[in-house]
Amino acid sequence: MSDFTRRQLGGLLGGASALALLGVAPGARAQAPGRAKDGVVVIGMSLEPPVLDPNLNAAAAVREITYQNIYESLTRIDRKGSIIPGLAESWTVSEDGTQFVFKLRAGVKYHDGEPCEAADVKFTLDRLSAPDATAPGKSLYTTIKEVEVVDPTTVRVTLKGPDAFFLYNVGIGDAAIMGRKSAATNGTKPIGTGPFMFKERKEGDSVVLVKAPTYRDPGAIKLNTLIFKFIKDSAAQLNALKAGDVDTFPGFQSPEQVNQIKADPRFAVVVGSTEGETILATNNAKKPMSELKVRQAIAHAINRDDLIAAENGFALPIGSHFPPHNPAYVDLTKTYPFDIAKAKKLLAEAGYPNGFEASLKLPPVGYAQRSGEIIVSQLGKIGIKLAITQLQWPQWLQEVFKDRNYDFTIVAHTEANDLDRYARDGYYWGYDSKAFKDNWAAVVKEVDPAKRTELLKKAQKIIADDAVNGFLYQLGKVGVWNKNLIGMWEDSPTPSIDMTGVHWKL
Amino acid sequence: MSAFWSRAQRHVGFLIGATLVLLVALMALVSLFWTPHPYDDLRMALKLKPPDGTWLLGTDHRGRDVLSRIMVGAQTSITVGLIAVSIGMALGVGLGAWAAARRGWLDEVVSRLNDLVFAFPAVLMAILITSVFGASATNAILAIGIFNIPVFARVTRGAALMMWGRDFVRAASALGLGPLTITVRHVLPNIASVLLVQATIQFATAILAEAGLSYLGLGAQPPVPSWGRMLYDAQTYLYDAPGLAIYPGLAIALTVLGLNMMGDGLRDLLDPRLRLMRVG
Amino acid sequence: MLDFLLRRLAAALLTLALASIVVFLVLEVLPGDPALVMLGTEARPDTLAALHAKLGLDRPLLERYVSWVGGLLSFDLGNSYAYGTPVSKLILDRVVVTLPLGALALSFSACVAIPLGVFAASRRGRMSDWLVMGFGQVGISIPNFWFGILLALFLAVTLKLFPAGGFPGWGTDPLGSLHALILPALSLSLPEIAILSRVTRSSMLDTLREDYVRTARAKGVAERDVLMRHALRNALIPIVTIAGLIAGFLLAGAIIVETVFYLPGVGKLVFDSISNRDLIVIKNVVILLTALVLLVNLLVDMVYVILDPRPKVSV
Repeated sequence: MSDFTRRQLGGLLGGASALALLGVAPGARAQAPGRAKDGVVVIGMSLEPPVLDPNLNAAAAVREITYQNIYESLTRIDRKGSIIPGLAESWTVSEDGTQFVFKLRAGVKYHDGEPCEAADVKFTLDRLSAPDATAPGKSLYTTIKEVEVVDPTTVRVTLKGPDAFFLYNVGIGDAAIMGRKSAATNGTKPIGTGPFMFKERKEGDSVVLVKAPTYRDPGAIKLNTLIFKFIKDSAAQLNALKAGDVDTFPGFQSPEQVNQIKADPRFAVVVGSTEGETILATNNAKKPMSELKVRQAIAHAINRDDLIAAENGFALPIGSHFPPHNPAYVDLTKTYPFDIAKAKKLLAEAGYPNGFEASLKLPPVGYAQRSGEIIVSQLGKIGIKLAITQLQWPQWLQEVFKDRNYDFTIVAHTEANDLDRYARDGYYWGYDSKAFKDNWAAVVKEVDPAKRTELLKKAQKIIADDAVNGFLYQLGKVGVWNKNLIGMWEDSPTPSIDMTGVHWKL
Repeated sequence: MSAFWSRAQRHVGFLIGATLVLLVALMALVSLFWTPHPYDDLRMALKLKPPDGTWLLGTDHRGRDVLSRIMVGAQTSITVGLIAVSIGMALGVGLGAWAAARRGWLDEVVSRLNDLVFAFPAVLMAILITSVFGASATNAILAIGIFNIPVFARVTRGAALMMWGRDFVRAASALGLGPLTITVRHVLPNIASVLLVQATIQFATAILAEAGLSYLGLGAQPPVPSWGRMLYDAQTYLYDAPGLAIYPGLAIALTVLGLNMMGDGLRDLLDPRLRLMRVG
Repeated sequence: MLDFLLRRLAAALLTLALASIVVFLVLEVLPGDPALVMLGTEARPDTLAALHAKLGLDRPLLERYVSWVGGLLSFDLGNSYAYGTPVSKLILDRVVVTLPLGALALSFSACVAIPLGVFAASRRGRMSDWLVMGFGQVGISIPNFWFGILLALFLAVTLKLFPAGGFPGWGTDPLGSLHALILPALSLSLPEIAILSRVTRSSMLDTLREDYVRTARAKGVAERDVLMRHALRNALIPIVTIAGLIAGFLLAGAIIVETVFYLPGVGKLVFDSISNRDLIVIKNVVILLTALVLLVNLLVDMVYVILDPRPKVSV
């Protein structure tokens, strides 16, 4: 026994020192150069898509991976946000703007070998707009009245009324054209017409796509394998980049770390635009925020410079709910300039000379955490005492968004063309303005681009004057990639990590 | 009592522990009235400053004074720990003493409930509890408090059972005193030292638990500083400002060390035969 | 002996049944609707209702509980709400990280703590004993996640001997995967080493006082053999008990340490599932972990009986 014990102890100790030695031995790690030769790219993402079918889940990450890589839509949103031909090579619009005829590309095949035909387009659009549809993006497609198959490559779509955003909406990831036969299992085994096909996934870790042999123009695709790797924590993202485990973070979420990456000659850091207006969302239906003067006071108390500094400068100030890169943008940041004295005076006029107490319910995202602490400090200076509550997304959706049980929250509205939210009844801001609603109805019906731009400018001005929400900043898209990786999207006009034109410089 | 003090003065571990605990308590007390700088004043221009004459421990990622935040953080740790242990003690001692007095089925039920709480992965349940009720210092207290109940119940039951076997308690019972009276008059006073020692150790454990929950973002909410949360934030800046990851951890470790040494010292001084439960 | 084990088994099963009810009820009151999470901000009342029906969330409480427990008993854990894939696959993918992590941490603890404790006991009252005991005191006072951060800071960020976090996966890089588990296992084992070395020391001291040890010494058996052959074997009983308890705590500790080192383990799975309201994953993982803790305790009881055949009452 004694020998046994001693040997056993010795063995264990020996094992430990062997492990300790391992610590010094450099681990065998795949390095970027090897991957470049094999046409492999490892793409880091902060958030993991639950399923791989945009019909089943609202998460942006679903679209980021699938859109343009696995699935394609009728039209296509390019890297600058313009609408270009997608599966439809051309289309015509009727005079009154209610009828669209799409001509599909010939010879397009799904990854399972099935042809992509007009019937698939009808199937997809019907599934999105049907009365019993459960797709998260359903409300974008309820203007569709009828979809008809004219011939295998021609589809006619009739709308209930003119919809200025229709061509855009059929171009985004939500309207991915799915195969009639394969659609049911797309959540776990996605099958589309795009240049890359699904190979495997490890939940909580990665999704792997490979070049699709069925793609119509195989020569145009320079990459063989895409590995989407999910890394949530900012410090871990930095580690992964530095260790060479990841080639790119198309949307790097922690501006604090960017200086570290910039110092590394292997990486390029590119700051582009997004559709994400970050706002101090305010419950307009609740006292005292229902008072215009209170909201104006808040607007005067917000110092955007500090907020943007916390984003390491990767954000642009906004004075309304509209992205600065849009041609219809007007600069309204001076509507209520930073002015503590003015803010205090307005607050006193509204009947709150000593301020008031309120809740600030934050979703679990970096920018909200960063800006939240700063907003508490800034509004504290005019006597508004905010108590922060950190919520998980499900709670935020339920409490803040659905039940509207909140005073303030901070969130980025990342959908394109999302000004329409201000015209909605029962939306979580509780904003109700006839002037805005009338103006928005005109925007949707207006087919003339110049006139529409004027109406959009007016819409921005109305909500800025009403100080509906605290308009903070437009999130920047901080893209980080290996300098030899060519063709990544700089901006983020719609959720997509489009790898179609990307290649390694060898 | 004077005998206790004279022995205490010679017990090095106890003295070190007590000194550490006193220092931390003093720091929390002072921070109620004074800190070198306001603990919640955001100055983005001053972020991540290294320690110097003005900012003794430097500034954090929001330009706040780290020393001031550590001082105020002591309040958070002490409050959460103290209340959580009090909850556990109030309910646990009651349950344990009751089970020991009544024995039989009640004893069995209490034991099974204890097993139940011990069998759950405590961190997991704490995460669930704070998810149900929302992340806040109050709910962290609740989550930690719940796990303290069975600890005290077990210790109390064991010690009380021993007392119930003693002659003087049997005599009291024979005289016709009820179980409640006996428990209050004879049992509890005699096991008070056991409970005191256990409470000190649990206090240490509770502070560790609070730090862990805050580290996961489930404890006190910003701008209220908490040591665990400071460590979480610091991890983002390991390359730029490694000091941020050191001071709050040191504060936790020294506080817990102080309490543990004090607890062990108390045990030696009060009753060397006491057996303690350590629940991690 | 068999009787004792059977009673322990029955108590464990009862505890497990109670645990399943508690977990189920806690998840019932967990605010946040899984369907709303899936559909997001543009969810409409009609789409929500349809999804509830699809997920079976509209069925009565008891029916859902029974079907869950029924599934558990037939080893069918169902499909994840979020991923749509079987829960058992999700769990297996993560167990291959957490289990090696726990095993590594436990072996680190045992290899360091037992020799340390024996050493301290043999030098009772001397400087080296004091040092070991002091180390133990410090070890249990350091939060293991902070120790992890310090290890990452010095051994990974500064000296670059280890990765500061992440996990390459056994399939792609087995050596790198083991490498990635060392710092987490070290930080996980620190408090356990502290506890275990103290237990070993006091247990050794107890046995060294026993008559047969004195006899052995009187007979002139070498001190080394006294320690190893006579004392340690008997001292192992409480050591095994505590080591078993520690195994349970390792699991809990793994949740935080996995966060420190960004490991895709069971802890992270639970954490993510809670934030996605993937209720079906949470309840299965929690109940399996609970069962595991109970099982470990049972095993400890068995080892206990084997090492010391005298019948025992509950510990």
